[in-house]
Amino acid sequence: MNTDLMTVLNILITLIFIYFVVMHGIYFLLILLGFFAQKRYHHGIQFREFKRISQSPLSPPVSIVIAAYNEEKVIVNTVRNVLQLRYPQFEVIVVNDGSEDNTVQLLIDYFKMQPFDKVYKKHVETKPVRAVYQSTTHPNLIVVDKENGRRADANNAGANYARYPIIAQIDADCLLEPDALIYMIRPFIYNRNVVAATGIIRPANGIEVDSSCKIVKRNPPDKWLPLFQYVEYLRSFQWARLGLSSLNSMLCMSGAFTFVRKEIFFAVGGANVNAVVDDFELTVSVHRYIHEHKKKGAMMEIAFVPDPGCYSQVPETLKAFWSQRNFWQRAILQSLLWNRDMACNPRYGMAGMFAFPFFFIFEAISAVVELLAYFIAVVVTVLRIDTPSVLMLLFIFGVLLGTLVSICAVLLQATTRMRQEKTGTIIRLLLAGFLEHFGYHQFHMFSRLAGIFDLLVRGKLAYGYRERTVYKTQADQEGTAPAPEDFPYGRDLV
Amino acid sequence: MTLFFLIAKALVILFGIVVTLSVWVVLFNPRAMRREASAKKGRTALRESILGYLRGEVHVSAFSSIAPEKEDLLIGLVAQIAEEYGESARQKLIYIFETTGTHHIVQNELRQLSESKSWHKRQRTATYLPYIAINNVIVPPLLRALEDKELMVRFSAAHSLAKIRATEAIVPILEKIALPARWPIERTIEIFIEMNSDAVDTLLEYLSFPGAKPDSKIYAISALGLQHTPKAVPAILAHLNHSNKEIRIHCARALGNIGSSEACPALCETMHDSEWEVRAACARSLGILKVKNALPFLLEGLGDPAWWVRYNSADSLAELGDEGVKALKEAFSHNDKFARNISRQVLQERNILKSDQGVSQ
Repeated sequence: MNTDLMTVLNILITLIFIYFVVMHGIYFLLILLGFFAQKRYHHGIQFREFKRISQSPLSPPVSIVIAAYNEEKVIVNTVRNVLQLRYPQFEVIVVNDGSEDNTVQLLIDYFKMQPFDKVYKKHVETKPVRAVYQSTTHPNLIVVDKENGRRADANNAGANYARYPIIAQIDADCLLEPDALIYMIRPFIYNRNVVAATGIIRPANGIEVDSSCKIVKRNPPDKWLPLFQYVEYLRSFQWARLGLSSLNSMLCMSGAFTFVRKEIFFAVGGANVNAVVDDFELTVSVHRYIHEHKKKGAMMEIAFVPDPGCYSQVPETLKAFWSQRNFWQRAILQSLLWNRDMACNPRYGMAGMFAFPFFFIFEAISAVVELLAYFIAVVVTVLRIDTPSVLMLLFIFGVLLGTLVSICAVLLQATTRMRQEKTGTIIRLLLAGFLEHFGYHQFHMFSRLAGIFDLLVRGKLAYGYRERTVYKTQADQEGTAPAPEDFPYGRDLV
Repeated sequence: MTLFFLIAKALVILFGIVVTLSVWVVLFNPRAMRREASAKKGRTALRESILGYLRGEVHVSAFSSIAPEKEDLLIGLVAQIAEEYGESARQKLIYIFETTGTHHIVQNELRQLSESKSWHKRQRTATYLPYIAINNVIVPPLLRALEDKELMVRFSAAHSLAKIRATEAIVPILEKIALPARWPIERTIEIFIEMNSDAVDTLLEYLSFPGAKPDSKIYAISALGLQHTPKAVPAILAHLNHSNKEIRIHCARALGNIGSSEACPALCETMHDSEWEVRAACARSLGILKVKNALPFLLEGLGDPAWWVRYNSADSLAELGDEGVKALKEAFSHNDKFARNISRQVLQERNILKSDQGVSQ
């Protein structure tokens, strides 16, 4: 056999082994860091603290911006859920981003909204606003009806209308814990240097709400596809992000649950409408701003709150899952390429020196490396090159190590106060951590490869296929429909 | 390759350990849940005993034989119940820690506050002391804790001193915790609010103290405003023209919060301040005072270059009742477009005007 080919193959195999060991090793360390950060967080909560924040007239008021595009299935329930948050002062701004369904009409009917001419300062340009409505039943609720411009544009429009100093951006399919605002505003209250914050997001697919849209049960999803994502959220969005946050390297505040000081939001130019998705780019922009405007002794920070405050629907079908992951992959890659000057640049601290290389090597191009690993597995099998040992090592470093990280994430969760009580649920989560590497992970990899292709070759920006499901309510089980008073549409539409 | 095989072997062993651990977690989960349920039951029983003591059904000596591992639980529950049932309950619950069997708990906590190397423990003790010991015992150590090197410990000590209305702590708090560059001003003001009217005299004295720091004065002024104390008005008015912008802003807000019409002329005059934040605060406060004499000044504010001054002026005009609303409607023909817009918005926000009414922009 050609010795050159063998040499190349050996080098590739060695590099792939190193890649997997380093990637999973870093994830493992991040999960551990996240675990200790969470312990520190719970240790730091003082007696009466949340009560004080919830009652103080001096707690900073918050503007909650909900961008909605074709959200008729969930929007009314989401707004009802948000309106009953326990917090002294907040406003809710729903931005209808040119929906083609009944989103606006449902809001107008349910919350008895009337048009009004709100004066505002246009900090950032957006697509034209068609109308603004204010609720006659909830004076702190307004709806901004604008032409379609994607989520970033809707968030910018909402921020333009926001009256308060902290903007909370949530997705239209999100449900919040009643104390979510208290948890999330706490870092802003105690640390003047906190300019933005995000928190733990959990899949909403298994949760139950009561007739007033308050969360009453927080079960993991029943179906396997959302359950795999639940484990993934635990591993990546909870532990790893918390670990990254403690290293000042968290590059993605999820758009489903982002809190940012209004002045900073506008200082970075608002959400980038040209980005595939605005959240990753916004986080990177805030990091850039922090490092380019740092003052001695007062470094601005992005906080991560390890209390589960937000539940967001995850895809339940492969088609929707493919679209979502393809979209996320494009977002990460695009933002990293746009901001490549920050990579390995000491001016940007840990964000530049660690987060950028880490995200690029182990997030943006990991799908390509994985595909290469599979390709090599096929080649060594076909060419019969020491096949058993290479395949075994590939399996150990690629699959077993990944499984180890997932299972550790589930086990660590079992040691916290957010643990699952039922043994059956713990078994399912552990199984999901193991089984995700056989099918789910490969499908995920191909969706990300398609995302890379779509961005670099097709220049695709649009989200793609998306689906929404109605939340499970206690009434569903009791067989009664909690139709709101005087609401002509009944529960089926909402 | 040898190295990789070694790593792989180590990983397989680690994987085996993790799988064993998973099996152990699964097998022992029912037992762990039972233990948790049992702990919950114990907690409920102890809570019931404490409530029984409050009702006079359980004698205080029942707590003297509390197991050492339950001492922290007892402190936590006592604090929680004291918060739920108010000041008289707190006073009564303290006696739980005065029996021979529980007195050492207080001594331990006091020792911890001064000696512990962990700031978390010092903070925890500073937080719980008001629920386990009488004022004479805890005020001196808490005052000393205001000088702790850790800001969070100082903050907890200040809250505890506020909880027991220790007015002698006001000036030390103003001196030690009024650190606007390091600590949000609102959090310190909340401490004085917690002291209620007991803090007023000392805060007023502090304002007249020649050596008072401007930053500390801001805290005192804001706290007085939030106490709604009319007797603070002259002292605050005396600072309304202070050279420090922040002091002027907080004076204007405080005068509105107090709500005394005595402040109206000075506030109207300050509507011409050079700083927009001061003008905005005056406009807001004039709306709270609801004094008709403020109408021309608020009308003038509608055309202010700063949005918040325009908005607060319009909102305050609406607060003045029919005359204010009439003035806002008349402002539809104002020669300033921004004044017209803001007048219309405020009337619509209050459902006085519908969207299709009003004038063109």
